[in-house]
Amino acid sequence: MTTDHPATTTAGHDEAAPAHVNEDTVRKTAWLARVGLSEAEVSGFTADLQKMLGYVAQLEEVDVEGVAPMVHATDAAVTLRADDVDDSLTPADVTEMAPSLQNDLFVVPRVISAD
Amino acid sequence: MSSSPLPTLVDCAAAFAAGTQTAQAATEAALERIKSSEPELRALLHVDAEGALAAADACDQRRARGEAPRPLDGVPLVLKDNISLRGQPMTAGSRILNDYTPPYDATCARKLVDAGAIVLGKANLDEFAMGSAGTHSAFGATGNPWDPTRVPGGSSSGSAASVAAGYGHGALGTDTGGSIRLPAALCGVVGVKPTYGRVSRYGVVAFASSLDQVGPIAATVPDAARLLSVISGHCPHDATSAEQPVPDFEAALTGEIRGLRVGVDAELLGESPPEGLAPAVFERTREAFATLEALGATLVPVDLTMTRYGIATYYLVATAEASANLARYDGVRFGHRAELGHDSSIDDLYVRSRGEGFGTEVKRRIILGTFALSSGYYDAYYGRACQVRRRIHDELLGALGQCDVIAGPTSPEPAWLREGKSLDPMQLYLMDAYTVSANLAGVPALSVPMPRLDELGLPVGLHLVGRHWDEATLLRVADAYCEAAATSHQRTEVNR
Repeated sequence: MTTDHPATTTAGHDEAAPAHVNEDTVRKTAWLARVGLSEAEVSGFTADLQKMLGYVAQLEEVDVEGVAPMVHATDAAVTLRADDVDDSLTPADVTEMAPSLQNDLFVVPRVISAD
Repeated sequence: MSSSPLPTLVDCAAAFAAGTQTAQAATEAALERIKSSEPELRALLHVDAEGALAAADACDQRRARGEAPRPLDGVPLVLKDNISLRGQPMTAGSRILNDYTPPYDATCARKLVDAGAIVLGKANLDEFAMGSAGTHSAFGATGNPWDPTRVPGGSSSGSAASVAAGYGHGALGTDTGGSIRLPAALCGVVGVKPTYGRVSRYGVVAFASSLDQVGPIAATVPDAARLLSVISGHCPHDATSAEQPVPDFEAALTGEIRGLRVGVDAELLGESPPEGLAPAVFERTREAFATLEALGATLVPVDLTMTRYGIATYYLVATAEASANLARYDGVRFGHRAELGHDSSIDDLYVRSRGEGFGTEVKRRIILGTFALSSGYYDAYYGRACQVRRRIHDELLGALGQCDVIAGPTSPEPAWLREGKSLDPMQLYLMDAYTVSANLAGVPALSVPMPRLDELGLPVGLHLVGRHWDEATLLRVADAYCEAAATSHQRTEVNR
């Protein structure tokens, strides 16, 4: 294990970028996330993603055999409150900023196609 | 500093309580400073002059009725614009929330207001708190009050800049990987990231829920301690807020740190700075170690080898969580909605609303986070990052078993020019190298000003990391250090 400081440069990690990450990967990922990207963004993010994946490849050096993943900042149980009725927002509070509303319902485009 | 034209928060509250300054006068003065500096700094996204003056009037009337003063009575301050306050617009620095006004208060904001604070407005930030420079706001970058051509640090850019410029006497920020501490360091003020669970996240825009924490930014350690005492505590609306007793953090500031053990990364004890650390920052950090020793503390070398994996771990964990948290911005219930033709599908609505509403950095992180969670990559990226997170946590707690606090630099560099580092996102991510580990481990950390650099006169921060729930020791060390190094109350209005 080297003694490089974390605030080192990104150089030296780039060559480890997975070769299979290309523009199609970014398009597919953007679709999974339902985020529209311009062609320029697809191209730029492909290079960024390759670079970032190359950088994070350093995690492969760490021995994680048998290490339980830490998915939260604390292992303490969450604190629950009593299931009591309390003040809450009114329907008007909640729907006030809806881009499109009909009879207190949020309006969205057709979800099921006719055919 | 009560003779200074710009009092500290504690002095401002004391002047109100003593009847020597009205809340109205304090608020008017703050609004005047905003008016003169804001065209250059752009630290605020929304100024609520009318509401602030009304709140000040209410404070003054309470006092006239003889009601007991509250801890923040008559104290004007600002909130980062990812913290909800009913009736005031909240954008989180994003076009997708351009027209959003929250229908409820964040618990931390409510606690401030209930303690008598006067909210001047909402502070600029990197979009959805994603950034280290304050340059990723959809509504324009904030300038550093010490040199507006330089960045204030991010993502609580406007909060730190507001305090440094003397807009108000304090601010709230949020810190997911250093977003309170980094701008505090670059703006020469105090910023505290409390223990995860210390402050309720209810009503705060979620970025990475296992890392996010609200905390104070102020000009002095006692000011920050008072704000932290007010906002801390269990909240029934946030199941991750802990049922821990909240000490009086101001009372912990005894000035006495004799016999205290200060852990230092062995790398920082060498002759030359570790790679990536600016020599001038290294020099100031070494001087700070000497100051702590002169105060009677003992330096203890600690092994922090795993923290070099902090950035890689953080940017997988944080983006993965962000990709899930930001799914709520879909153009359906609130926020930006794309104009669509009649034959559009629900997916068109999502894709186009989010594509138009999110800025480049947010999209970049959603892509990385979604990729890290996607089928076939989950184990290699997100899963492994969570395992390395455990190792960083264990190493840090082990180190904190050998000492009371760990000290080091907050930022590898002083404030950089706004145009710098903008082309390569990785270069910016590396600015969080010293701060992310505290978030990954959930422990408290803070940044206090070291003496400004000889050249350029820019501020730099000393970073202190402590044990879970022991913000009191962190603040005590920070306070003693600031007094000894004469760096308390560094604001442009005071120091120029």
